[in-house]
Amino acid sequence: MRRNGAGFLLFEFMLYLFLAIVIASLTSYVAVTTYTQMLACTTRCAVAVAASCALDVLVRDLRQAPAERSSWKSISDGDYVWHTPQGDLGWQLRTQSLVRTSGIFDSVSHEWQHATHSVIMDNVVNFVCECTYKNSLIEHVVCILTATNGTSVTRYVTLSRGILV
Amino acid sequence: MTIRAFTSRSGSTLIVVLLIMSALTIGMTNIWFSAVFARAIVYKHALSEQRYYATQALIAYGITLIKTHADSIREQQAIDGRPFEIIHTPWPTLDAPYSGKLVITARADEYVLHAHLLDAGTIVSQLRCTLIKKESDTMIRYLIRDWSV
Repeated sequence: MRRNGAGFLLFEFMLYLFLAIVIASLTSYVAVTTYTQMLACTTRCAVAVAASCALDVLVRDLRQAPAERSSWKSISDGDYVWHTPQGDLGWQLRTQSLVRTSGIFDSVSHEWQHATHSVIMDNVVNFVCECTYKNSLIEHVVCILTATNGTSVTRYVTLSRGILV
Repeated sequence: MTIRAFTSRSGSTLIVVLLIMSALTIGMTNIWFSAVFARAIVYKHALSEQRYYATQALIAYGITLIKTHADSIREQQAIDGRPFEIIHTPWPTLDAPYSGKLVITARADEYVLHAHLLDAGTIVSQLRCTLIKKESDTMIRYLIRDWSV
């Protein structure tokens, strides 16, 4: 492959072009792969933080909740309502949203009246508060929140001197 | 066969340009990687920096709490008069050995956030800031004011 004039060989051009493409492709591949993984991690982290925040707000509400079982108007999967001096307070799972409701709850019709709803977290598939009783008092509550991406957060709320802490 | 369109000089220039572009691509990627991982490296190796970032993480969690659940926090305080207080050991957004405590007090039009970073039960760092609620027709914003360590 001798040069027979000014310029450079097609082979040389192809070789350098190939090397440049390989380097650029590898760099792009590493960058895209890393970015995709970071994006997935960021999403998982955001969901975990949102779930953690939601359960922290719930724990704060449970601290004010009465320990007597009779003061709780509803204890069922995804629907918990109790009475406070300022009115009724409830946490429900509604179409994949965790909702905090304050107002007046009618135990007979099982409906809220004059209520304020706050969406605490979206994309929730499961919300359970497992209550453990001692006599007619709630001893402790285990709250489990599961998001649609599988992230699950748990809080253990124990009872002290008849008050949930 | 030679490419006549390029002289040997322009051919060399092309090769140099290609090499420079490759080097730049690698260089830029390195800078990007460094920017991403520098904090993680600092976090792992420098204890004071670790405490700094841990406190930042704690306060960021508190700000997220206020921004997302401000009304609920205010309602909860209205019931028993006590501020919103949470303690986690370990904290959800912090690595061991740290744990944290957040106290959020709702006032007339602002929220006072007090973060304590704990190491084996001892306060090693604390930060306090005030968030002011700014409400317009389209959005609600919380502006941070009065940082103090």
